[in-house]
Amino acid sequence: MRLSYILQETLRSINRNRGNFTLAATVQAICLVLLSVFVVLTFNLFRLSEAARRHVELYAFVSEQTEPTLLVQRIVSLDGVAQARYVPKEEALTELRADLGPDSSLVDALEQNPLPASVRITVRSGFASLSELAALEQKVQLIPGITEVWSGKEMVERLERITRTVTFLDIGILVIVFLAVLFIAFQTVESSIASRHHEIQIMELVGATGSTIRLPFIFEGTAQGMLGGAAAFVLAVVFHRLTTVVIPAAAMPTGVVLLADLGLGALSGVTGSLIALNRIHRTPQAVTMDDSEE
Amino acid sequence: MTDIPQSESVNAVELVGVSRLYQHSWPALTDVNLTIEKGDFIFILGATGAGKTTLLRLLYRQDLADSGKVKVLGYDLKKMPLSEVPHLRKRIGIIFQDFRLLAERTVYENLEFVLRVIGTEPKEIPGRIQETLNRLGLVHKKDSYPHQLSGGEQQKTSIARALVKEPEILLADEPTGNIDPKAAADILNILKDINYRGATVLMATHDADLAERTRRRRVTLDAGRIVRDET
Repeated sequence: MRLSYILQETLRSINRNRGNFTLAATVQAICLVLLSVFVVLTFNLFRLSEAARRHVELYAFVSEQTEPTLLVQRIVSLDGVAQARYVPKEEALTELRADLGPDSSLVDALEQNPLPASVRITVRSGFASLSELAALEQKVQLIPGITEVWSGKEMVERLERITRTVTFLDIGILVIVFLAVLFIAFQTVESSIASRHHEIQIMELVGATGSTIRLPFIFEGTAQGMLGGAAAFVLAVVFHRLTTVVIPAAAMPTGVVLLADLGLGALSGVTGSLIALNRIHRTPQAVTMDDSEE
Repeated sequence: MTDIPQSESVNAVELVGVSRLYQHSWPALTDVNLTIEKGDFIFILGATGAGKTTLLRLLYRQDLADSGKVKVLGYDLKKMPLSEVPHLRKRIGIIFQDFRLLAERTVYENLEFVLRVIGTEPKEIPGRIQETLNRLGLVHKKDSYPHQLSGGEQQKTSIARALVKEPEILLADEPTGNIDPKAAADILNILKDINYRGATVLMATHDADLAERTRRRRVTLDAGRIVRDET
């Protein structure tokens, strides 16, 4: 079996079915570009989530008699704490005024400052998971002088839920896209086999090996899948460029997208071809001839 | 791996008690015993449905016998795994009544295709094709497509395709069935020449007169049984 022959036969087959081949590669590209777009969106969602986690703060409210310096020192010494800052009740009120903006006159109506002093704790990035936050909240709560702790874990919980859902969605899309491109590859190779049925019969009769007969079809399916994958990658890059016009910070994991598109294209091509060959051509040397009995 | 005796003494074909039933238990062959020595020329005679094509199909392992033993060039075909079938078929040439040429390839390309798919060294290919075309008087037709050839020329191309891989056995299934008497005589002469050069030739035909004129061994089948074996 010679590689040059197999490549030549692959090109001959592609050329003969170029209409089907191009159409199938285009549909595969459309399927794969959907996957690429989801990869880009997910990547950015995870980046956003990671950035949000880096800014997670705990608010530890402090009783009036507590000495702030010692308290801050104790909090900073806890595992997972990046920074702790004491915010006296006057500063809290100023912040509230700033937050309320034009409605800040509402605050002036109050006879006394109702806001407690607090320590704002910034969490190290590795400690921003739901369980770590809950553990830290508990530790801070036990420090004398702390009346209440608000950890913002609801926000983290929501983020974790979103990223989990998106991950499942991604897996679902991956499976659907893979099945779709697999089916397309299968259909193309099946029709290619059907159009070369006579040629395959001759090959079998003269003593061509199974791999000589099968490999051109497998190469054809793989080439089609990879072509679709390459086109999908180009479209994904274009999509990303357009997105950055609106969202300049949007990033694209180029290597991952390229690998996903080409890899999935090639894998679906090989698998689809093998299924088509198995279905049509189960035992190459024994069943395909349809000689009419005398 | 199947045992593949290669010695000169191995018969080309040995059938011992071979039976083949088709669907609905219709017996295509029943208890066929036949030995063909290497270098023989043998006619398989019989009317339509007598079992000639079934017999040939068993020999190139397109079909398997339900019982009995089929040995071709020393290969026991029942024990032969599918992966070994190409090795057997490389040593056998097959010719059909309906030619089975590739319509979109020229005469030259039909022959080249065969040599390429069986893995012949590329530098050997042009020489072998040229020699085969010379032998069959087809050089002037090498760039023609099958539809541009007469029936006789198409059958000659089909023989050239079988011959180009230098087979030890040539199986011809009604090779003169679709061509005029003059072309049929030509084809027969070519087959005799192939046999003269050492290949074993089995020709299935319903034309008993043609076989009788040729004065070679004639095995007659009737309803799947050998009813006559004359030399």
